[in-house]
Amino acid sequence: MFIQYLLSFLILLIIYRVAIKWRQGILTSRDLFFWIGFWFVVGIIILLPDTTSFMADLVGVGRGADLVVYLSIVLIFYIIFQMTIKIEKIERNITKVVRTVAMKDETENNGQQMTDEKK
Amino acid sequence: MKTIAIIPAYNEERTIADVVMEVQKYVSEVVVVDDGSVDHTIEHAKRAGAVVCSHFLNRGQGAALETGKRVALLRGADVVVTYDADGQFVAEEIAHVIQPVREGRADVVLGARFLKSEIPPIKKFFLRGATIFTRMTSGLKLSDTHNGFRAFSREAAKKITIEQNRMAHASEILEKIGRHSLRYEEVPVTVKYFSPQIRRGQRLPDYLKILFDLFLGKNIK
Repeated sequence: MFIQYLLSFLILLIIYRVAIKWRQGILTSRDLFFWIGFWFVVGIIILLPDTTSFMADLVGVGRGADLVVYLSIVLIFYIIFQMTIKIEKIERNITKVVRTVAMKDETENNGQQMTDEKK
Repeated sequence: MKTIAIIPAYNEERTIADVVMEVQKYVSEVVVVDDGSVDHTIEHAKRAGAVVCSHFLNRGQGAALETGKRVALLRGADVVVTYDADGQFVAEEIAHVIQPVREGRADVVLGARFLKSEIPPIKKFFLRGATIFTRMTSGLKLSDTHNGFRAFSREAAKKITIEQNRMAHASEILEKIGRHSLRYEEVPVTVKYFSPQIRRGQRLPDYLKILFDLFLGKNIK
């Protein structure tokens, strides 16, 4: 079917982009394997949709397409959670910067730096 | 003994000068941490005689307290008092709050409002909930958990690092008191509720936000 070829082509494109980012050093090798694995699985599902039915039967979900949706939702929640943690971490780092600037006069006058600021 | 009061302030130009002048009567120095105010909080606080530190971005009350604490330690504080900028506390009571620390009976003193103040019933309900939560998570038996009036010994102030930027810092402090096995005491304090100011505190969504922040904090390495 046409949609299968189109999506397969898109996946190859995405994997190509991921590889470029890996070569530029933006992604680590671990990221590279994760994303290639992820898109490889997506590719299999697109080209051989029946595999999902097999998996669905195995775990006891009615249809293969349902299983894909369920797993996607779990994955999306996980990614959102990781991102929220990352944002909070960035927030805390911003606070460190703001605090260092706010305390500049104090630390200069007292000639010492709080050691735990360097963590 | 050098007692330094820290007052985090965010857009408090109406009250900050009075609060600083009142508090100054009972402590050696007052440090106001301006948390990125867009009004004249800094000028008012300086004119009233406070040492002013300024966050160039608003980072939240927890962040401001941690900055204030570090400044107080750098200035050689033996006792660190935290106090609110909105004028809800009674400065005279600083003497009672720092007494257990001065006498070496406690490392941390926490203000408790239930013994002295008239509190709106809904507010009471949520504060009670916070009490139970604290008992479960930190093992501290307290009557009031989100009260900005506190006193720390120098050693306790060094041990407790506030990492929560926003309101969850209150629970974080309690948890760290428990973790470092610090000796704590509750002292009754007055909290004045002016009708337009009842809404200044935390409401239900804020309490949920605090729980979420605490949960996030647990997951940050």
